[in-house]
Amino acid sequence: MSSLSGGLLGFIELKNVDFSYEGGMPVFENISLVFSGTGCTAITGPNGSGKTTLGKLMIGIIEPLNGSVLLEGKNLKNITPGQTGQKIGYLFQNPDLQLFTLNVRDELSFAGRFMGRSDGSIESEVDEMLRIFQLSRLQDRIPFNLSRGERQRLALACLIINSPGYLILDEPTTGLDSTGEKMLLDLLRSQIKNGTGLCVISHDNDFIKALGCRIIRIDKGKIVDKNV
Amino acid sequence: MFKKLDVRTKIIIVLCISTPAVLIQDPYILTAVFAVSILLSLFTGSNLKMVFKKLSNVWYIFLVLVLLQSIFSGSGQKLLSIGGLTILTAGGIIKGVEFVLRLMIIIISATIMTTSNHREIIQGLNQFKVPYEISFMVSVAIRFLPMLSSEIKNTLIAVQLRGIEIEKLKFFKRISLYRYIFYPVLINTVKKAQGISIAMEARAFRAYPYRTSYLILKFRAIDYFIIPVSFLLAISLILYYYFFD
Repeated sequence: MSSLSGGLLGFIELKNVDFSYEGGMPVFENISLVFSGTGCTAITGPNGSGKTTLGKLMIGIIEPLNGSVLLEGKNLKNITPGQTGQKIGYLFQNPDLQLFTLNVRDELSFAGRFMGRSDGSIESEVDEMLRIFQLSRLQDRIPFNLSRGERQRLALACLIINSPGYLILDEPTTGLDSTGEKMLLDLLRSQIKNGTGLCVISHDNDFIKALGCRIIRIDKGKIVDKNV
Repeated sequence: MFKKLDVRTKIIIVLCISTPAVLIQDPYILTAVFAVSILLSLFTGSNLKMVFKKLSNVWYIFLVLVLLQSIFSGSGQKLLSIGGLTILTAGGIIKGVEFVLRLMIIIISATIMTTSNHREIIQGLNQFKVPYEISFMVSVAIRFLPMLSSEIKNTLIAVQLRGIEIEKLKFFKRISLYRYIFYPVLINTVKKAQGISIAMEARAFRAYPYRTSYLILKFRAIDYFIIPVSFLLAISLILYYYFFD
């Protein structure tokens, strides 16, 4: 569950967080949130309300000016992005930021190779992901040349292959057609069922409702509504 | 007073600081020029604190530069030798320090330009009779640099968020990982450049030979004072170094 107070011990906790971009107006002032490691939470709100900024704070891409962000009780400041990445899969709003190789197949095996996993186990998981995300026919293509929806699917597959315990997805339906959206919906439902926690940042209300997420609505950096 | 300088005056100040820095090879004079560049950057309102913070992250590059200068341009008293190879010499270290000072002067003086917005820089260059195409390219390049730096930083974080602990990788594996950071950065940069060129075409860039401008820069009394003083000091310094030092 998600809560406005820091009374519960959650998977991710934001405690009295203030944040503003360099030279800009404050985005968040003294916000506290608790995200449990299971179920689905949606962060929603209009454009520019701070949804993506909140996601970036949760994963440690940006640091709060005041207050703290805790992952399983540990301050994110004291955890390397690599350690965070092993626990949380983060889908960027722009999937181009998380594609690094010149081949779809290599992209899927990329992290595993650097994490010292055996080639055999990586290859079988890559085949599985190619099948689930309907990327088999694209496996030799250059990721950067794929369509927006295909890049989005690939970026998601690269997260799921690592089997993180929690997923933060920033606008996951962007660029997906109805078939892709249905596939994503089924996949995320099965992830939730298997115990993976999920945080969806989106203003696609139909998608959020279909996932049955608890909703945190933010506007101008303030939590205006919650259904937790 | 200095904060309201015309952008053309700032360009001349930067030239008058960086030219002696390139031509002079005396650590004392370079130190003095470095001090002047810091003072002028502060007077014009540059965010020197941020610049020094960023430079402090790459201090080891400066150290390597000093070492390389010492190895390849060694002279004077030998300070450290390994086997038959002389690593440190007094003259080499001085040359290395000169090189780093030169680099710092150019970086610090360039920050003076960051106190003007890109529109003023373009107009300043235009009123210096630089063709608009070139001044526009300069302006785009200036705007691109911080974006490029933030993109490299974001990509490095994105790689790690795949669960890769860079600190634990062995040296050669780490080097091979860094290779992957450049693909997205390079490709995104090319895509952005393509986007800009399409937008420029769509807005009829260079459709007419003459351009009018809403912004017209005008020198003020302080500019008329600073420009000749800057030239005079820079020329005097160079002449002093070559003929009297």
